[in-house]
Amino acid sequence: MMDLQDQIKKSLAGDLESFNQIILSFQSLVYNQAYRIIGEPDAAADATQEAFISAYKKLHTYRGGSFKSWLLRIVSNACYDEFRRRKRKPVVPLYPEGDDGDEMDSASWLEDPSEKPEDTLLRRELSEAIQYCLDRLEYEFRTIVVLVDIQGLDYASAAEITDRPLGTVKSRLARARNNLKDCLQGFKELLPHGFRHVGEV
Amino acid sequence: MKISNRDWVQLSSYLDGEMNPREIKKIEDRLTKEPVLQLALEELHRTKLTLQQTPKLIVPHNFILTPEMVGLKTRPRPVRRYRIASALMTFMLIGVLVLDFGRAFVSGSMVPAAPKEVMLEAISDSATDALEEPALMEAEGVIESDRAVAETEAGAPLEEESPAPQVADEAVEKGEALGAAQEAESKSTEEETIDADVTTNQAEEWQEDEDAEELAVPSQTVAPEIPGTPVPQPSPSVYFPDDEIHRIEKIPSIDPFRTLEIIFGLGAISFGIAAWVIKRRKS
Repeated sequence: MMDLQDQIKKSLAGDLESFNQIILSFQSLVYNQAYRIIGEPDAAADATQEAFISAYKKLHTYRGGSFKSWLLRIVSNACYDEFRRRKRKPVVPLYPEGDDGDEMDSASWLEDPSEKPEDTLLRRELSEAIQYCLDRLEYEFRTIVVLVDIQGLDYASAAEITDRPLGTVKSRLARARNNLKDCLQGFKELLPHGFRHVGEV
Repeated sequence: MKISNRDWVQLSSYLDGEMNPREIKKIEDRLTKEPVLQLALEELHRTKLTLQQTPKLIVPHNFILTPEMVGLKTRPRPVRRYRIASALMTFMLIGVLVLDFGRAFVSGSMVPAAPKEVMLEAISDSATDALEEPALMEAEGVIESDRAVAETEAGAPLEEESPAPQVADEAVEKGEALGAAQEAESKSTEEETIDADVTTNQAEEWQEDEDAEELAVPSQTVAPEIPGTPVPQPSPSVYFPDDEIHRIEKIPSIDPFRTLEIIFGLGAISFGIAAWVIKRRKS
């Protein structure tokens, strides 16, 4: 199997098939990033597709280093464009709304056929709870916490992707975590056991 | 005790290992002394663990790109190209055929250009006819008038029992030449083609050359006739040397319309077959 650098070289030479191989390797990462930032499946899919198109066209700007970081930066920009577009032209949600008027995600695409129904339900509810709390963060806070805590990047990479100073990333991440901690208190029963018995700070 | 924003930032950085050794030592000293700070660190740690356990979503579909998405021009499929080429060739063939028939209709003649072999055969026939002509002319009395002409040129009357048979033979030779020329001229008039005209003119030229040779060396051309001996018939090559025949071969005899018809016809068939073969292989 070709390694990533060979695929990039071939893609730069105009081989679309090689770039499609890269897409298949990274599409899960990109889509999850987009979904956690935007919070809507369709918008996330649109942003993901736009990000890959943009990545193919801007591939010549990749100067080595972490391809994952380079790609996530493009995704973050695509998500921001999609976020602004949806803010200007709000779409009617296709999913049922909760009691508080918030849209409830239809997470049928989260289901794993090999998983027990109760586990699937728990996983789905946890995903919805986290997304619910993420959606309450400001856009830039959300982006940083997704990059660091969900995608597992370090501060320097997050700073490069968001084009923000390292100190800004540190402070926004701390505030985002603090807000998420408070929000997730409302979903104690959904959280992992280690997270349930939390004392008041 | 309330935890400041600065403390939250330091705890978060400490959690992620994003502090320098001096900062680490400082925050660890505080953590041992301040249980509230210790509890806050645990809260952040659990939040981080929860976020790390966020379920991975399954992509709704593959996001692979097509050439249209990235603005790449797709090449037309070979089958389609071959089909178009075949159709174009067919149209061109039809056009040339229409022009060809139109030209024939306007000229009022559908006579095709004579092939090279037929033309050479015609030349050979005319030469043979020229050789046989004196006998016919003699039978018809034409030779008599020729003899009179010969008499006039020689300056002496010719008797039937003339002792100068050479002069008579010379006149016969001239008569033969004239007959050949007349025959060639009549053939050219009948055929009314440029090629035949060329052939006739060629025959006339050769005859003139032959006459000149005869006048220059009369002793070679005048040979006494031995009764009962068949007169040897000169072969056409005597009248049409190799270099002359080659000159005739250079005359363009293939109609350009025929050439175009052949090219377009073969092209239409070839491209059609190629398209069919490629389509069959793909299927």
